[in-house]
Amino acid sequence: MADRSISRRRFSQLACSVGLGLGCARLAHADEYVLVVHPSVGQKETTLDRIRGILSLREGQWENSAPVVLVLPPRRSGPIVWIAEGLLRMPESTYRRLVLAQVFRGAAREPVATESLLDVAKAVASRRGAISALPRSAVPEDVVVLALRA
Amino acid sequence: MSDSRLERATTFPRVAVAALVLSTAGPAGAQDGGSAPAAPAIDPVPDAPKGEPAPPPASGQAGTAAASVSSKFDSAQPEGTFVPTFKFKLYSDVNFVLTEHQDPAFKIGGADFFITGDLSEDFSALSENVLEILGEEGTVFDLERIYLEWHPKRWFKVRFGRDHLMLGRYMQTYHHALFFQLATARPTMLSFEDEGGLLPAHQIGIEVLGDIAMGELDLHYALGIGNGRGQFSDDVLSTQDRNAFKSMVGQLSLMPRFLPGFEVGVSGYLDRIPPGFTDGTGRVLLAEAVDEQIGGAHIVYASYPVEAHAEGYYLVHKGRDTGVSSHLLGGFGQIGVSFEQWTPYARIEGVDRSVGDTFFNISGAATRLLELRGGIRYGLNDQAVLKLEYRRDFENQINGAVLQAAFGM
Repeated sequence: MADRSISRRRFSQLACSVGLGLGCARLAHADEYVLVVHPSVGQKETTLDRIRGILSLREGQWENSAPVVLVLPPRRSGPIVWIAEGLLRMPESTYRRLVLAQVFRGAAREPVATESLLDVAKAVASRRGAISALPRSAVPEDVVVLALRA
Repeated sequence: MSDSRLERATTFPRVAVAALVLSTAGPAGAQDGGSAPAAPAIDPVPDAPKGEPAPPPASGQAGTAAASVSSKFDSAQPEGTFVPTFKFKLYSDVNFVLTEHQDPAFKIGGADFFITGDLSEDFSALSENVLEILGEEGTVFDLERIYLEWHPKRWFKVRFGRDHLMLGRYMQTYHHALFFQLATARPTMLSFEDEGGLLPAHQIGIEVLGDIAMGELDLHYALGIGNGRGQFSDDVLSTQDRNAFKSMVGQLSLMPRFLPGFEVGVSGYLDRIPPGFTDGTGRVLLAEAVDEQIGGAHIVYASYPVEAHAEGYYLVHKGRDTGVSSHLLGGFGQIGVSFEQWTPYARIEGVDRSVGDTFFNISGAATRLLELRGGIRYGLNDQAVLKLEYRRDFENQINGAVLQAAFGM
């Protein structure tokens, strides 16, 4: 898996070069964060295209048909900035509006809002189909780290 | 969270984490008992990216969480147990409207009460109700959408109730809240029935839809059957039907996975409009049943920073007895490009229909329309936007401008 995984540093350089300058300073720290999912998702790796569909709630179900439950990290926290600017290449406020829009159109479940990274870890660990991001150094044992591959 | 408390959390992880759960999640956290993950390395306050100023306290910026009143309860859900949820949001808009030959005026948009509920892992429900201000006619509280959805598979979902018609993409994406829309108003052709829209906007019945994975493509399909149109445009039949014929709608679209946000598709609609509409004097205006056929195509790229959307429709009305046909051709194209919070946009829309179409004439719908809108949208935050828009109605030679604040909470 390691040879197929995208180096986050390489990814951040790439995203920085095509992302209209969005959050380049923040992307320099992209190595710090990882995507985490509830074990019920049944995946340990996925593609960047696929995860963009999941995180933007364009895809509301996992491959095993479990509903996607998006756990939104706290406002302006490192993980939410990484998701919005690093992976989806849009400002955090635009990303939050996109998520609201997907719920409003009936295409996705209401995301779980959190107020701390502890809430994020707890929500991902306890909800079937949950996905979020956490600092790499702070991933609890009861969630699965989702690697990105090309 | 004070440093001293954080220090205790790292020293005595389990005890302190439990205490943190209680202090951050309130009473809901207590339901969780000892199920909190042992994650002593996790900072219980939002961590700002390096080089960024420290965020203000989380308690003062719940944001999206403000409306998601049950979020704390959600995060306290024990593994394996499903807790039904109920979420409520409100969307609205206020406007200052300048139109040539009219007095400038402030205008309050509707109040859109939006409710979602997760009933189980496979069932959810949605309701959208709009309190509309009709000027001198007072206010009405309209049930716009309400349905139960069963979604056992990504490729198979069933909706039962009242929904916006699965025709094109605009109808299904942008409902009543103007907050999510690029411009200050819907395209005229896709306006709702009580606002002069030309296409049917609501369907009361059953819909089957889903996304089928086909390699690097997703095939989206939707099929629906419902009551169909009444005797005039705004005669939306929620509790009865005026004929035995049921309206049918179908849609197919392709969405490549390598280009998220891109979609191209076609839609079709069949209905039979019942006869019998009479005017105030008792004169029958629509003497025969009318077959309605609508075909449409859409192409969308909804991403950041570019959002582009175009739809076109061809409609045929044919009298069942006389065989007289009327036609309508119309569509719109719009594009917006975002620069952080600023999104300049433009839309052009055109409609041309037969002058002798009795069904549309009953509602006083325009026979021709050519309109250009251009404006800029500014995101005040993730729950409020400001739009300033210029509008040119080429058919009636009218200019106008709108300043709109649209928001959700």
